[in-house]
Amino acid sequence: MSELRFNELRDEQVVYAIHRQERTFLPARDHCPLCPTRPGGPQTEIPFPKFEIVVFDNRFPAFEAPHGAAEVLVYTDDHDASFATLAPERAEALLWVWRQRYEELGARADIDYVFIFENRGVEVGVTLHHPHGQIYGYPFLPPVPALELAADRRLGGCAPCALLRREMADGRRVVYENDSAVAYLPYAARWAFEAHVTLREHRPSLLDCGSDELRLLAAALQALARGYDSLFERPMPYVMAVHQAPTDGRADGAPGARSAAAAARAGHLHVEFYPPLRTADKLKYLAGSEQGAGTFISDTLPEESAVLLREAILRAA
Amino acid sequence: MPRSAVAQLNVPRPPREAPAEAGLYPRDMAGNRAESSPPGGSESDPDAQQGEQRRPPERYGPLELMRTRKDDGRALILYSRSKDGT
Repeated sequence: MSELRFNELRDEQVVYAIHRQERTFLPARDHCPLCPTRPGGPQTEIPFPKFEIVVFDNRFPAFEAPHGAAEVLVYTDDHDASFATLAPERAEALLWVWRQRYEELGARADIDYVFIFENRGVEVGVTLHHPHGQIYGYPFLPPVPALELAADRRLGGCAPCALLRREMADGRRVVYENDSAVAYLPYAARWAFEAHVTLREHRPSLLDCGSDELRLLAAALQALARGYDSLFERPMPYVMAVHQAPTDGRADGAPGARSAAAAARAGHLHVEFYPPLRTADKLKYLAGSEQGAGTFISDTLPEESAVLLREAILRAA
Repeated sequence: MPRSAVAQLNVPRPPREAPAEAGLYPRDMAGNRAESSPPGGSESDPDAQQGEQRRPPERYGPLELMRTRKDDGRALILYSRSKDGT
């Protein structure tokens, strides 16, 4: 069981999950715990000889019932695939899985925020190469989504909607768009090739999306992921973070701050990518200013990075 | 942190005493929230004994879900595109 401690100076929770120190670390390919259990082969986490998509409770959870959840979401039984190379139908199915997990975990009283994410590449701390993501059910509202809700209040409406309008009007940082989703590098991106994928319509969560929107959102995410891999002609490490409305019935984490109905409309589904590479072989590190002062120093301009990423997306199409 | 220190942390610890100052250290995770069952049922669920015991498939949008449990009790859900293609 993890322990939660409150860091008074940072005004944030820190999770101590010391059992995770012993988790599987970059195993040999033939001992991948996320591959299917094949006849005559080693027993893996998935006791079936083949599968499409699987979700299971993390063996080394940061959170667990009745104080949250930590799940592993395996995209495919193909060890060498990636989110970018999934068939479009599989990527669309994956978004339905995201939706189902958001709905089921969000209904639990012990979960205030459902966070779906993927860490890709050893550069961002991946310990298993098999294509997979994770789902955390936080027993509190984490700082980043809380800040996004604060931005809504500061701007007097949905912040992602306002930012999308600004990006579409400017156009220089937009790298991909279809009928339902737009991908752009934010005006104040922290990472050289950070990109956000936002739905054109206000949709607090995946539960508010129709079938076509899910399909087109999947298409936008895959187009971006393929573009990343094309950018430096190497698998691009990244963190992919799915931001949705909180599920705690409150809009800002304060008890009784807003009605459940208001909270259900707060937040705007969007997916953020944080790739740590600033060139093909140079990583952006979180150093003194970023860690000690909380201020990112960027070596690149989003407008210039957007030109390169837009070209890479077209090449990969 | 040296591994020996981690091993010490993993040694079962006695129950903590109530904090001298309410609201400071430690803060229990999720306070006094109502407990809820993990997805797929509780440990007393008869379907929760072995991975071979599965529930009937469920539908969710275009997906078919098959809930089961691993031998150690952890929940596992298999998702597949429904066979009728809807």
